[in-house]
Amino acid sequence: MGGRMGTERFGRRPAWLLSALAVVATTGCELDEVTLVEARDVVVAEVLLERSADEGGPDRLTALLHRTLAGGTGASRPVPGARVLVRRSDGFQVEMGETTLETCVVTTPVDAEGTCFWATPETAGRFQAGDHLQVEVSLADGGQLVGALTVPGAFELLLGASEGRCSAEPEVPLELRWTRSQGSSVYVNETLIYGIRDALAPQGIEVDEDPLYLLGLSASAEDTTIVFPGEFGVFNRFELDQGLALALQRGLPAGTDADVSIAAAEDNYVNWVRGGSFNPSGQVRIPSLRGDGTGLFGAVVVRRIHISADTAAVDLPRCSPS
Amino acid sequence: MQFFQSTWTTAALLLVGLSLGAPVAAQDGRLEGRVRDDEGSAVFGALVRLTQAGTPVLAAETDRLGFFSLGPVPVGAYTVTASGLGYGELSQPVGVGPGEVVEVELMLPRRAIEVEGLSVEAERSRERVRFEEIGGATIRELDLADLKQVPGVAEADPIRAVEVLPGVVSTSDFSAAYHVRGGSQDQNLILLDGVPVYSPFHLGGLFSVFNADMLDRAELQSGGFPAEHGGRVSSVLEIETDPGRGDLRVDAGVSLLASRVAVAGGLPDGLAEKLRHANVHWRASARRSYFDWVLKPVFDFPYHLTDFQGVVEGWTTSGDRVRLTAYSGDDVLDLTTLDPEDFPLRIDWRWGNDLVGLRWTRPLRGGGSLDSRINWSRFGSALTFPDFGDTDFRTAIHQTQARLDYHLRPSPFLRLKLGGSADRMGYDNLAATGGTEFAQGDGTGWLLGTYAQVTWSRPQAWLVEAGLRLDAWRPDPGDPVAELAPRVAVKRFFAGGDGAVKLALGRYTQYVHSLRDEELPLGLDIWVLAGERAPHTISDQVQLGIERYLGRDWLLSLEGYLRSFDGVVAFNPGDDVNDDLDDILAGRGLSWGADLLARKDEGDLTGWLALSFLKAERTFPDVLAPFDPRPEITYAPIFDRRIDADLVLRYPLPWGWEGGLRLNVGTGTPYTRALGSYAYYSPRFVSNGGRLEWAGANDETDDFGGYAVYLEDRNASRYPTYHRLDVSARKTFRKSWGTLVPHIDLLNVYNRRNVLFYFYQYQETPPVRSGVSMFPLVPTLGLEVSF
Repeated sequence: MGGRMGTERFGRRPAWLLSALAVVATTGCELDEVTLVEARDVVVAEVLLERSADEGGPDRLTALLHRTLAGGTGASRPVPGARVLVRRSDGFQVEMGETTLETCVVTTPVDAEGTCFWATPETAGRFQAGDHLQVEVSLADGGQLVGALTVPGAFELLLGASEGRCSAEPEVPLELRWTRSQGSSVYVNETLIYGIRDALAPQGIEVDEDPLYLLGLSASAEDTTIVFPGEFGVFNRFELDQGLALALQRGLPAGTDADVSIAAAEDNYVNWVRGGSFNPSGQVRIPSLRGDGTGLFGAVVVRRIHISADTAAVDLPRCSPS
Repeated sequence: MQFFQSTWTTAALLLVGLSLGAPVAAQDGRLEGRVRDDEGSAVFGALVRLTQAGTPVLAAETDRLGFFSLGPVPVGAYTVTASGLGYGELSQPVGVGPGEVVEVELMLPRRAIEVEGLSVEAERSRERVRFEEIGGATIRELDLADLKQVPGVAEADPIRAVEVLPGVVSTSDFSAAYHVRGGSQDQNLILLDGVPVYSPFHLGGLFSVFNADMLDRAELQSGGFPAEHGGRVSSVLEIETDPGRGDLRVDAGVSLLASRVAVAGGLPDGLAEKLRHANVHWRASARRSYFDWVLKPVFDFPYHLTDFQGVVEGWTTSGDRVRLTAYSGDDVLDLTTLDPEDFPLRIDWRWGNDLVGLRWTRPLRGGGSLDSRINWSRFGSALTFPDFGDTDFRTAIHQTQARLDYHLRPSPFLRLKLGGSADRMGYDNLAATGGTEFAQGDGTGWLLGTYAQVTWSRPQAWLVEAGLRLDAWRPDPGDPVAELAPRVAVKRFFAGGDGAVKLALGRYTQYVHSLRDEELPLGLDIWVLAGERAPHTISDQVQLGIERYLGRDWLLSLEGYLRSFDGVVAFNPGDDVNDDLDDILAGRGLSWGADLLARKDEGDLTGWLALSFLKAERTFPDVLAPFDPRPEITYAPIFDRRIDADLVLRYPLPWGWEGGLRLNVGTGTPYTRALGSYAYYSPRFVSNGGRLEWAGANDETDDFGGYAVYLEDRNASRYPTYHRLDVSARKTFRKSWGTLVPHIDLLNVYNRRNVLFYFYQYQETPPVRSGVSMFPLVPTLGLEVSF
C-alpha cells in the first residue's frame, strides 16, 4: 500500500464505513444516555501559514487558539494571555499579534469563542518556500506548545492563463496541470462554481448551492494533475444530486465560471486534516503541536485561477494545458 | 531464545534416547490392517477389537485412511472384530506368530441407521484417539451436532461456533472474526479441506461463508500445532466437508439469513468403475440470501449473498482417495438501481472467495500415506461508482499451492512425517478516485516450506514430538528470508492413559497480514504480503497443560501459554504520502493466559464450560513523537478480553424437543475514550481569504462533522462486562419421506445491552455519553428438511 490517504482522512466517512455503520445502527439499540460530569480542558492551537504563489497574492500567518468545549455550552473558549512566536532557522522571528476572531475564522459554532493571532501579510511574506520554521505557543498559565515544519516549495500552474484568468470550452473536461512543489505531500484543490443553478435549470437539474463548492485532491507531490471539474467533489459524491454529478463529469456548464485554488500542503497539514484511527465519538486529528495541548502548525502554498465557461468572456485567453 | 535453544537440544536427545530404548518384545507379534466399507471407502473411527476365547485383549480405532494397528500381540489364535457407526460388524479369526506382523483387510457392510447421539459419541471417540496420538497441539473438534447445539444468529455457522471454545475471543456480535490466545484475526489459518481460505465471511464479518450442511467436522488447533502447518502463527482451523456415502440425500433449510440446499449422491457403480474407482461420492450446496426478493414489494434491499460449495471424493480399488473441493461465494451490495433521490451516488460493491483444491492420498503399507495436493484460493473485493469512471477501490489476494506430505510408521512406536510445499502468492490493492490514488500496493512472493516431524510414543506412558520446519520466503518487492521453526512437545500420560501432562514449545512464522481496522465491527480485510512494505511475523510459543478424561463422561483440560509476536503490523498514522514504503508500522506483541475446559459428553445433559484468561499487548513506535529515537506505545489490543467464559449446554425439552443454551460472560474489551471535543475547523483557500470555517452546522443537522475529539492514551478504557444468554430449541419430525426439523433461536434472551460503541458528546447540553449496543433480543426461526 503506498501513500495512504483514505477518503476518511479529509473529514468524511468512506462508503463502506457508512454502510457498515448503517447496518450496525439498524441492528443494535441505543444505549441509555449518561451525563458526563467532566470534560478535559485542553488548548487547541491552529497555526497556519498560507503563502500565495501568485504575484501580489495575499500571504497569511494566523493562529486560532481555542479550547475543548466547556461542558454543556457547545462552544469553543478563548485562550487569553497567550503569546505565539514563529521562528525561522536563521533566527528571524515574528511574534504574532492578537486580533479579532474574524481574522481567523469565517463561521463558528453558536457562541463559540477563541483567540486569534496574526502577522501582517508583509511579515508573513518573509517566510519563503523551503524555510524551516518553529512555533512556540506560550500560555498564560505557563504551559507551552511547540512544533516545526518546512514550508513547501512554490509551483507554477501550466494553464496559459493571463493574470490568473482564462476561459474554458463549456462541457469539455479540462485537465489542470502544475509543476511539482518541493516538500509538499498533497495538493488540496478547491473550486467555487458560480451560476450553476441557472445553467443547469433548463436540464431539470436542481442545484441547492450556488456558488457550488467542491473539493478535490492530488494525493502525492508527484500527482500534479486533476480534471476540472469532474474530479473535484470527490467527498461530495454521496450528497450531490446525481444529475449534477453527471453534468460535472461532462465539464463546466455553459454560462458558469469558477474560482479554482491549488494548495500544496506539507505533512503537518495533511496529518491534521486526514486524521487518525476511527473513533465513534468524532473526528480524530493528528497533531503537530506537542506540549500542553494539541493542534496544528501547518503551511500551504496556494495558486488561484479564475476559469470562465461564459461565452461572453471572449477577452480571456483559452485555458490550454501546456 | 536461550531457553528455547537449550530446550530443543534436550528434546532431541530425549527423543533419540527414548527411541533407542523403546521396548521390543521379540516373541510378540502385531496385527495391522485397514477397514473399508463394502464400496471401498475407508472407515474412519471404526473400532477394531482383538479377543481370545471371548476375552478382550486389545482394541484400536481406525484413522482417516481406515488404518489400525494392534500390538504387541502375544503369539496365539485370536478373533479380530471391526464395527463402526453406520456399519455392521465383521469378525474373522487370525493367528499371530512370533515376531510376525499380520496384515488384514476388513470390509464392513454399510447400514443406513444413524443416531445423532451415537454420532457425538463417535466424534468424542475420535478426539480421544487424537489425545492419545498427538503431543503438542491443543485440539478441539466440533461436528454438525455441536454446531446445531450452539444457538446461532440465523443458522449453524462453523466459525461462529469456534467462538465458544477455550482461548477464543470474539470482540463483537457483529463479527465472526475470532482471536486465539492473543493473536490477531489474520493470524488464524483457516482451511477448507486443506485449502487456505482468506476472509471467509459474508456481510463484512457477520456470518462465515461455510454452509454447515456440507460439514463433516471442524477442528481448531489453538496452539502447539505441529511442523506440518506453516503460514500462520496463532491457530489452525480445519473445516472438512462431508462427501456423503453415495446415497442420494438432500438437506435444505430456510433461515432468516438465507435459503440453502445441499445434495449428495454417488456415481453409478459402472461409471465409477470406468473411472477406475471403487466408488465416487459427491455433495454440492448452494445458498442465497433472499432479503432482496422478499422485501422487493416494500423497498429495494440492495444486498444479497450467494455461495456454492462442492466436494467429490473417490476411492480407487487399491484404496487411494481422490478428493476435489471447490467453493465460490459472492457478496453484492448494489446501489445502482435505487431511487437516485435517496441514493444519489450509485455504488456497486462485490466481494468474495473462490477456491479449488485437488487432493490425492495413497495409503502405504504399515499405516503410512502419501498425500499430494494442489490448491488455489483467492479473495477479492471491488467497489466502483458506475457514474464515475475515475473510481477504483479494490483489494485482492491469491494463493496457489502445491503440497506433498509423506507419513511413515517405521515402527509401532514411531511415526515420521515429511513434507514440503510451494506457494505462489500475490496481492493487489488500490484506492483511487477523483483522479488520484489514495492508496496502492501490490506484490508477489514464493513461499517454499519443508518440514520433518517425528513422533515417538510409549502407549499410556509417553509421547514425544519433535519437528523442524524451514520456510523460505522470496517476496517481490523485498528481500528473501529463511526461517527455521523448531517445535517440540512432550506428553506424559497418567491414570492409565486417561490423563496427560504436556509441554509444547514452538516457533511459528507468517508472511501475510490483514490491515483490517479491528476497531470496526464490520469491515473487509485488506491483505498484504511481507516484503518491502511489511515485516514477516515470528512467534515463539510455549504451553503447559494437563488433560484428564473421567470415564466416558467428562473431559477436563487446563492449559497455560506464553506467546511472543515479532512483526505484527498496523497502519502508520503518520506515514509520508510520498513514501510508498512507510504506510505500515511494524511492532511486536505479547500474550499469556490460561484456558480451562470442562466437557460432559454423555447423558441427557451434555455440553461444556470454557473459561479463558488472557493478557495481551501490542507495542509500536510512536511515529508522531518529535523525538529521536522515537518512543514506543504499548497498549492492550481490542481483543484483550481478560476473562471469557462460555457455557454451552444441550438438554432434552418436553415433547421431544431438544434444547441448546449458550451463556457467554466476558470482561470488557479496551477502547479509546474521548476526553473532550473541540470545534472542527477547515480553511477554504479558494475563498474567504483562507480563513477557517467550522465544519459543522448550527442547525444541528451535522453535529458529527463539526467536532473533533481529544483522546486518552490508546485503549486505556474498557467497556463494561459483556454477557449474553442464547437459547435454542429444535425438534426432529421423522416422516416417511425424510425428516423435518424446525428450530427456534433466541439470542440475548434477557436483552442485555452489551456496548458496541460509546459516543462521547461534549457538545450536548448537558454533555452525555450515549452509545449503541450489540444484538438486542433477536428471535430467529428456521426450518431444515432432509430426505
